Amino acid sequence: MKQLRKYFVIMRVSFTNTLTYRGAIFAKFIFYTLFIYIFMSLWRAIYQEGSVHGYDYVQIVWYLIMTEFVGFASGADIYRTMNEEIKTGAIAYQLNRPTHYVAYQYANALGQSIVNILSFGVLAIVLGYVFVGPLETFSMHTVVPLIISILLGITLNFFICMLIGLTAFYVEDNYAFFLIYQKATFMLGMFLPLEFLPGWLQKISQNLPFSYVHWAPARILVDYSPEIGLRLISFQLIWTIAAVILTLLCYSTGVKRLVVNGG
Amino acid sequence: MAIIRTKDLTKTYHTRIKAEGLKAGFSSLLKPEYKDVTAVNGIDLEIEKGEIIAFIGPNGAGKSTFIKMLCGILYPTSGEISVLGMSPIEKRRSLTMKIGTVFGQKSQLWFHLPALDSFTLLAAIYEISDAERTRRVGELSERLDLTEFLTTPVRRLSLGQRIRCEIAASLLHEPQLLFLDEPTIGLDIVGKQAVREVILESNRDRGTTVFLTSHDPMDVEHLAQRTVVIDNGKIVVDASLEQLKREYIKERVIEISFVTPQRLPQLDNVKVTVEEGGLKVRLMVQDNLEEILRNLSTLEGIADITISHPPMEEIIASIFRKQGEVG
Repeated sequence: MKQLRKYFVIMRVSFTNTLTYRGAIFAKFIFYTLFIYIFMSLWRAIYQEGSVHGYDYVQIVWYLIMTEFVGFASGADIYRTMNEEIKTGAIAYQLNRPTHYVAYQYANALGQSIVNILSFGVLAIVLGYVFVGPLETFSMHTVVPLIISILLGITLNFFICMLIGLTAFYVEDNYAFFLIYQKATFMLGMFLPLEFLPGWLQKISQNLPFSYVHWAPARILVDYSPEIGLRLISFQLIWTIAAVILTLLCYSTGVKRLVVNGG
Repeated sequence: MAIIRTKDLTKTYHTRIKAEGLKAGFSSLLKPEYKDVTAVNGIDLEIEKGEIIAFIGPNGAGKSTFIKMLCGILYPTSGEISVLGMSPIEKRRSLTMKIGTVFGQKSQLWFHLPALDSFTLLAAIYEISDAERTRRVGELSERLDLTEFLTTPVRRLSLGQRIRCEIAASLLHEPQLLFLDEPTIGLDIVGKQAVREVILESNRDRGTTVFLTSHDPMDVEHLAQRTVVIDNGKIVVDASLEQLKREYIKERVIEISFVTPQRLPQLDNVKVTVEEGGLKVRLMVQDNLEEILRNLSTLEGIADITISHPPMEEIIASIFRKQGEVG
């Protein structure tokens, strides 16, 4: 109980701390709105009528709003934080505490994330209604699976980012890994629905973790059915568990190799 | 009971040599070259419960590496360590419950939040109950005079106020062993004094063992009962405060500026440096401070006079000189 409580308090303090960055949140609000607006215009030009690969215009805009929401809500700060802390040796101060380093970082990131989930959540719904109106395929049955899928997507993203950050124990420069991850998630679901890709690439992508960060929750939002919900959430769950296990393994072997820079 | 015991403790870093130039850069990509740097070289040390020990040495002497091995953060290359009867490597996390650390150059407080929030967080991390936390925060704020600014965001505190909060943060879980790395760096005299008093009180009232590194000779003089000097990863001197005072810190530096150049009277046992054509003199005085001052009072045209301790670097240097003579 005490163990769980300490991570809850970390999350709460991190939440309060994030609230002090109001300026940054509003700046990102503008960026988010602009991004959706530009891509909406692009899609409007492409969609003269009908639908593409089963997505109509309203759905594709809501799709984009959802993938970008997951992106803005989770962020990649956790990669940068861990990478920096290991490289500069600042991790020493974190290791001096009776907390697990990975759990500490996760609670900290979650605290920041909750601020973003709440604020960008409201903005996302407002933008959707103002830009294209309600999503007709959406029903109340979608709410629970959608929330589960969003949380799994964010958690999967966090653990993959932590895993990449932790490779700093082994390699001097891991930015390339991060870049690959960022581009892969962008191409395989964040920017375009997976259904738009050639069949062979869809098959490969459905067996990789990248699409389960953004594509899965957005796909559930725009056209939910119990079968697709179950399938996507199971894949998200499997990849999240795998990422957690790999992160913990990478940490426990990596910390033994730690060389604290700067003496 | 020895609270810290190390035997032949050694840490060697295996670092890659960065080659300069494009060609060398490519060949090091294919065939990297490494070199071994020994930061800590066979240290044997025993520290008893309740001791305050100052650990000094020039930059790069291996102080931080040694402390980090004691905390279990770095894995030793060879040798044995036992801290509070435990092996720091195997029991790092249970050990953290019993040790506290202050790194003068690194903050453990949340920058945008009041110190009180950080205390709440630390109390949860160290599994301290709410009632107990209230009691300890109250007690520490009184001793360190924090009450006024406990609810002010840390970014708006002065350095002195912040360091006092840092010390409170590291004492919150009542550690048996306290590591202080340059705790008074950047503080004014009042701030330094307040920090020293809290450290002494904690040592006296609760028997906290204190392991201190500092470049301030006054920290060493006011706090340490025992001083260990290391250089190149080896212990050079391990002496009590009395011994150290007798042999090394008895020196004082007198600096005098004159309005017009003056000739100094004949002084015994003093090293004199004359600067700016006799307008400024610097005297290294051994133990006859009073006598020298009496002699100097006959001089005319004194613009300014200061008396100070030689900087830690010079004390360390003089220790190394003595070692050289003995060895």
